[in-house]
Amino acid sequence: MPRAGMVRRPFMRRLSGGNMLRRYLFRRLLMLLPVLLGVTFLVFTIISLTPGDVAAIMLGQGATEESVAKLRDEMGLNDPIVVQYGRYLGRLVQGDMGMSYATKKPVIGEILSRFPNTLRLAILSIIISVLLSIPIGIVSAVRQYSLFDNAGMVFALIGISMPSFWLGLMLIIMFALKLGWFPSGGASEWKSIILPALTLGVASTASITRTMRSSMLEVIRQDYIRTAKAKGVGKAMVIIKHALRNALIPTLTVIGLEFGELLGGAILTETVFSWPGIGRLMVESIQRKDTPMVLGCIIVFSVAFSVVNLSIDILYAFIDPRIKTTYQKKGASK
Amino acid sequence: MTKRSMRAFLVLMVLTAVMAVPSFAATDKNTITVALSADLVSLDPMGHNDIYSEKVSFLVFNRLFKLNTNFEAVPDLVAKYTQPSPTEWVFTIKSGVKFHDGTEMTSEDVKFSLLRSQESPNVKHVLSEVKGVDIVDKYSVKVTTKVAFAPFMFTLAHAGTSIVSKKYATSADNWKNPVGSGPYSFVEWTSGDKAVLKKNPAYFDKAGMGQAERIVFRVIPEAASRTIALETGEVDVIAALDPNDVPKVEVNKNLKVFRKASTDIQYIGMNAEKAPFNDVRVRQAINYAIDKDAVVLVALNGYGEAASSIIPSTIFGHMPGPYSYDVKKAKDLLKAAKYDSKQVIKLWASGDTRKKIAEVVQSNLNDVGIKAEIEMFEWGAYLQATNSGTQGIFLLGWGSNPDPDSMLTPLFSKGSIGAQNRSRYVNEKVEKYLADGRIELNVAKRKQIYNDMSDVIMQDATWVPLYTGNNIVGANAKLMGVELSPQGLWNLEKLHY
Repeated sequence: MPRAGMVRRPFMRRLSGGNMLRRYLFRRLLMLLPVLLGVTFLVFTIISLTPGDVAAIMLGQGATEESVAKLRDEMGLNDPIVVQYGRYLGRLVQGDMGMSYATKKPVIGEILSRFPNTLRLAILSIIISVLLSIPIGIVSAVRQYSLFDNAGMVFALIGISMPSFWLGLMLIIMFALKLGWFPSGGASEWKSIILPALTLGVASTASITRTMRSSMLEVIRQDYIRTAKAKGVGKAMVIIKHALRNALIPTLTVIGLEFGELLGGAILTETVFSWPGIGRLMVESIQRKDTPMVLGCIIVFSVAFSVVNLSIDILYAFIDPRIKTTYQKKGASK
Repeated sequence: MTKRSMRAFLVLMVLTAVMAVPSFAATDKNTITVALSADLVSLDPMGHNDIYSEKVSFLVFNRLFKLNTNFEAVPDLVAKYTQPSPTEWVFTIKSGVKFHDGTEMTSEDVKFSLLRSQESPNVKHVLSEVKGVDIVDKYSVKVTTKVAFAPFMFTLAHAGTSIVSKKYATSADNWKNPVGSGPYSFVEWTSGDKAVLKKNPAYFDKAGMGQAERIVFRVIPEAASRTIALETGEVDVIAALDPNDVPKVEVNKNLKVFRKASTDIQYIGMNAEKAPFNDVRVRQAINYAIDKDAVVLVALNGYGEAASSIIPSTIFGHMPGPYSYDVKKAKDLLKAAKYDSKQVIKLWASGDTRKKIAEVVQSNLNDVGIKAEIEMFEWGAYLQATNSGTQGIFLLGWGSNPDPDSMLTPLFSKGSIGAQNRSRYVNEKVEKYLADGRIELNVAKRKQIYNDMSDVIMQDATWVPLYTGNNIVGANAKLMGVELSPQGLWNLEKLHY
């Protein structure tokens, strides 16, 4: 097996193969720039083209036509979209995400106060779903068509089909209203995170379980698994040491995607649980046509998603030594 | 039954029994938690114009006047006031009023605040009639208005005219820790989650002193979650209870429902410049055709009042309108107008509630021979479309301030076409009534002006007033001091256990 004879060194150095990892990381991070440029331009244009006048929304219903026109002028909203976007970009490269149209406060401050909540929720949700889905997926695959497998797949199907706001409300009714174990919403105490994390965790569990099961099914039919069994390796050892690592690659991709999506904020769940996350902030900002705030949220989301993707790519190498070897070979040939 | 299934059955039974007993969290008697459906926009009283931020502003700051639960403007900071001429007002504030930082409020702060309000984009329209503010002495200011302006005291009760500390407002804090003079002082605001206030023991008005030690505003956007939070005891009062949840809360002995007619009015607007609505007989026919009770039932689960006039019953100047639900009269008027019953008109709406209303209206119109197709819009697009000049018949609403001028001028004046006058309604008589109403200081005469104006507008029938909703507040049954005004939960400083 590829692990034989491997000297245990710190992971980064093991991967590095010269400066390969650093170069790879740099290249991937550099690719973020066109992504951000494209995303912000697209969002800026879409928001600008949607009907509704931000100045009128800001001033409220008693505002006169003149005061709306004056505010539009002051905010530079009468300039062409490209000019407005250029102005925004100019400030952005200096690290200034602008001021919120609605609250008149710096966008960065608002995002920094909300993003940790989203991050906490995303991390706990993904932990819940990984802890549930990996064992269920493995056992379902190993005992294909058994009662456990069927029950697991029905659970997965229900998890995928169940709307999160419905599940959230059901959990609130049961655990907050009837049992009184957890608060029904907010983020004031540590217990507040359990129910929203469970709601999101169940949804992610469903898709991760299905992927885990199918990739495990594929792996356990491979020749090297039969060989391992023939050598007399114990069943549990075969599954954990030989099959699981190979089956984890596609599962890891799904986990990464799920986690990335969670970092963008789960709007419905955040609303049902009054969770002050970035998803709610983004929706509220879209409704108010608060362009700088929407763009700020989008930038954070894009960066978070890209970083998660990058981390998953690096983790591939950690899980599958063949991928690591590819890095090392490339690094050596440079 | 095997031993194993017996055990499972028992566990299930115990679980069911536990779940059948609803929990009711113990209440911290010194902290009152109020559930809001949306977050605050700003802690700066001049940096917002919304009802959520206003709730906090009203507790942290004072104005020269305030509104009582009957919507009368009564003195807040003002100790006495005189009106040397129709355009001049001299206000003297109470002496010894202290801001939360311990500094004394003077006429310097009053002048600064009123001028600042005129400069703030969000609320500059509130004091648009003010020409100048001069300091008379340490506690008095003279405010000059451009014309004699009858509703002036009402405008001075708006959150946007709060008196702020000049020292604080010109500091670098940028309203992160606002300093006011109100019965509660600011503790913290966690965006999207909660705002916390604590009692100001040095409050100048002993009668208006805060009762509870702390008031916490919690943002709970989802209606069902708000009701559950009230049921679990996590919140003590909900500023806006969903009408669908009223029966559930009413039967709960731990909770109580409070209702009061609001100042909001929902209406069908018709573009007076566009056929077939350019014919007054068609507009009047539609006024007769609508079953408003059915609309209230469908839209609000019955928790509202059918509106008969453009001015809601909670607002000064209200007079019942001339129309009742009368299919025959509607048909006669359409016949007289030679209405082409083959044409299909577009009925515009936006949002879930208005979609339901549109369905009732569509059916009512069909009953009198008007075929209508419903066309739904996104809210931003809707506000723009109903102002584009291409609008025909549409559903909208208006949340009014207490004085009728603040709704009638934007909604029915010629100068407001392209802004809030979406019916594109012009009547010179109404223009005169509006001008007279603004300057008439005699209350009885002023009321007559608005009655007459209401009559003219209803005869011209560019609106079908549909209903005024109820402010519905849900509270813990033991909570004392719950008061409602036509603008909802009021005088929050009185809340206590």
